[in-house]
Amino acid sequence: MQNEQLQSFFRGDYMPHGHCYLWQPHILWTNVVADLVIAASYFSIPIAIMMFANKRKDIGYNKVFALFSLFILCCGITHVFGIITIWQGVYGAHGIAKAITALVSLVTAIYVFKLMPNALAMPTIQQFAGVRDQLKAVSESHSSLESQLKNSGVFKFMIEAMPLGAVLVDDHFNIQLVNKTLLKDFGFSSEALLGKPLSYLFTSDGHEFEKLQQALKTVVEDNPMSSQSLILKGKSKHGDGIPIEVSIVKEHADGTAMILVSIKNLTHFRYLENQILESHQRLERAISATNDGIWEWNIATGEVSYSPQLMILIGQEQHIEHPEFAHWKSHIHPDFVELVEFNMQRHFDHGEKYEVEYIGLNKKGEYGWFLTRGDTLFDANNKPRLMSGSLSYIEEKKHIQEELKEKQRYLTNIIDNAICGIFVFNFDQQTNTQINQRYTDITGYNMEDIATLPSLMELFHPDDIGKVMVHIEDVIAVGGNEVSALQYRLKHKSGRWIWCYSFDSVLSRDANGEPLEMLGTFIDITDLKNNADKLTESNEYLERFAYVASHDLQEPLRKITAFSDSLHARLVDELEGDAAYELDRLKDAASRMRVLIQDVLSLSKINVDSVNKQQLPFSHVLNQVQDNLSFLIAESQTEIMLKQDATIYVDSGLMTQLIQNLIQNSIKFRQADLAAKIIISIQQQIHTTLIQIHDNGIGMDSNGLQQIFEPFKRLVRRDQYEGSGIGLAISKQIVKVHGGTIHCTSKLGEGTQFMIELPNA
Amino acid sequence: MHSRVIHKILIVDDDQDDIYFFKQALSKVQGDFQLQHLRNGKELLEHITEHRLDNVSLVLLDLNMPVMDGWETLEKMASLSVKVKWPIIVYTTSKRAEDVGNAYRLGALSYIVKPDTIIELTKILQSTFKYWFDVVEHPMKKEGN
Repeated sequence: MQNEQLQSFFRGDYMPHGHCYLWQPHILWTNVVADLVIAASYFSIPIAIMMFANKRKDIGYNKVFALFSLFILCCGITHVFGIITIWQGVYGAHGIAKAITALVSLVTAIYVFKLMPNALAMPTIQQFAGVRDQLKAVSESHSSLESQLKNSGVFKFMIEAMPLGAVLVDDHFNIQLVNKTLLKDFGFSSEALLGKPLSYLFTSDGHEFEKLQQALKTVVEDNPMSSQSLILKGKSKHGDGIPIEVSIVKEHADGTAMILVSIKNLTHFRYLENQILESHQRLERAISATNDGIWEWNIATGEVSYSPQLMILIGQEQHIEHPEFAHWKSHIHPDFVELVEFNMQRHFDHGEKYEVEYIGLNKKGEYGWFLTRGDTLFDANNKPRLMSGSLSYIEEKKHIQEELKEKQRYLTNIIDNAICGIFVFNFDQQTNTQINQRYTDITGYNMEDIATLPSLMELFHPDDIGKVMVHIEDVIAVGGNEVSALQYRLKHKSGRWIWCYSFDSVLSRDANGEPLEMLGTFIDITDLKNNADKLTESNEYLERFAYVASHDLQEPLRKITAFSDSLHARLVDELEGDAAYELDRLKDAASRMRVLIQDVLSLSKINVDSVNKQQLPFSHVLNQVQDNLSFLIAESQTEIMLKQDATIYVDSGLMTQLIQNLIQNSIKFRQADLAAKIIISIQQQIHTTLIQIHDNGIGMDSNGLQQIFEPFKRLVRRDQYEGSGIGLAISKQIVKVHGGTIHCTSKLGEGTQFMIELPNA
Repeated sequence: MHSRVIHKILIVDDDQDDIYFFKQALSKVQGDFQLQHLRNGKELLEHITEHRLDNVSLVLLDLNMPVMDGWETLEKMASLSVKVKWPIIVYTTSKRAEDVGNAYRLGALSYIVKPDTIIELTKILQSTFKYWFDVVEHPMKKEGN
């Protein structure tokens, strides 16, 4: 049943409303269009309301806006149903829509009335504008306050950040405000100072505090903005004194006088000041410690600053406090003023070093050597502005220099006057870097000549150059300062050849041992060499002469012998008496002449070159002699005794000849009724060997002893003793070429002794 | 029966006395000799040029001579393209060992020092001839006896 009723309620087949209008188009469409426009309008209004509500959330009352929107939307829907019902009889649904609309309308109405008192309390637009203006004024005042607050913060920050202690005091000089710097400097906390009198920060003793009181008083009494500044000693929390600079400023603010005391801590400045002072004192000490004087000269103003030492040095001690340029200038010896000025001008004009040695008065008022040195500051126009430098008293140095110079001169003198030429040869430059005067005397070349020579090597004789090169290699090769000798020919500046005898050694070497310089000394041996050559030539000539002479002399002699012999053979039976005697004498003379010539010949042959020395026992020589003279010795019954043998250093042949000569001599000059007895003794000495040959012969007068070794000296008559008279001369010559000596002692009727001394080496 | 052999001897010496002595001595030596006298080395060299083929038994050469001395002569003879085989004996007054050595070095086959007397010379010649003509063999040796 209920279903039936429900079905009937929602049935759509009721008579459409159009029928009510009889489907009259004009009525029908008027209703339809009007409902359509109303519905459309009603649908759009809630959208506008919700948009507004959404944008103006500040208004609140969301429920009212929602109810109004729903109520209008529902009205729209009922109008749509109005249009539908014209053609479809859905009056049930139409009724429900109207019922919902009615419900919503009712709720809305109730809510609106409920809201009425609130709505009435809402300000009007005018009321709102007034409130807004008020608000603006309030906020402006607020921001002004804020800005003031901010300014105050900046001010506070500034005060705090200042590296300067600041104290604000009232007109009773009680502390109202302090900043951090001050607290830090003095070591107090803020609370400990606030309300305390300003004097709390100062030492109360002494007149310094009085000065502060005075200053404060002055500031207070004086005009506003007056300020006072003074340096005082502060007192820290721990009672230490702090050097401070205090400034006091007074200002009226809001009718009250405020006094700002700023306090600058000078401890650090004092430290710097001390440092500067100390450094200055150090400089002063340095200046006074040096023996040199220090000077400064302002050229523009003429002002000078001379160190006390300078004033003392130049003997102007009395003006030590107020030095003047003239003090220095007047100490210069008149003869040196020009020199000093010239050097100074040159220094100004060309920037050359200002360094002058001059003679001036010293502190004793005597003249002595000074050295001044300086440098100059020039201005933009290149004008000298400030000159400064030092002054030294160099008398002693000068003395030493003079002494050195004197020694140098002395050495140079010795070197120049040395008997030998001296040169220093530089291997790098391949030339002589130093020569002495004697070098020039010997060779003709001076240093200039040497410098212009293409090569020193050209001066050596072509035949000697190889020898010289080898010699230089040798000199380089030997270590130390060994010297080696060389003979060479050098071309004199005049073109002639000179013979030099040179000793050379390496003078200096580099770190690697390579030679840098060679020291050469040489003497001119040209004359010696020429003499030696002449002597050699003369000796050769003499030998040749002796040979040729002997040979040519023998030629006719041989013929005299031959012819006289032949004559004798032919006439042997016919010659008688005197004729036979004379022919015999002729033959005898010829044979003696022959011996003589042979002896002269052998004498001429004995020279140093013909000596060939060797070590041999003396007995060998003696045996040879005894062998050679065996017949003579046997015949004369001579006794020969060798006391002791020894080794001698001689030419075997010549020595045999010597000993043979002497033994022959002893036998020849034996006593008529006594067999010859010859005793030979030998003594070995350190450097020589002494051979003594003693006989028991006839001896001789001491007068004759000096002459026996001279050739052709005969002490006895020829008819008594045969001989050429040259035997002892030959003996002496043999000893001489051995480098030895021969002497003879003799006593008439007792015997003769020969002493031969020969070198052992 | 002896076949008669004549020895040709050349003496090269400028000294007339020595030539005289030599002749005197030679005359006392047994044998047949043909002696030819030349005064210096130059004459000897010319003689060689002309009579190279001659059979000369001995040449006695003095050393000390004018024009061309014995030394030069020996050197020249050694350098001849065709050498003669004549035995050369140096005949001089020099006893110097140096001269003796040089003489042999230059080709001399003997070296005789001139003696003081003719008797001595005669003895020397006798022994020399015996040696050269009888004892030794050499290209110029003449067959005889």
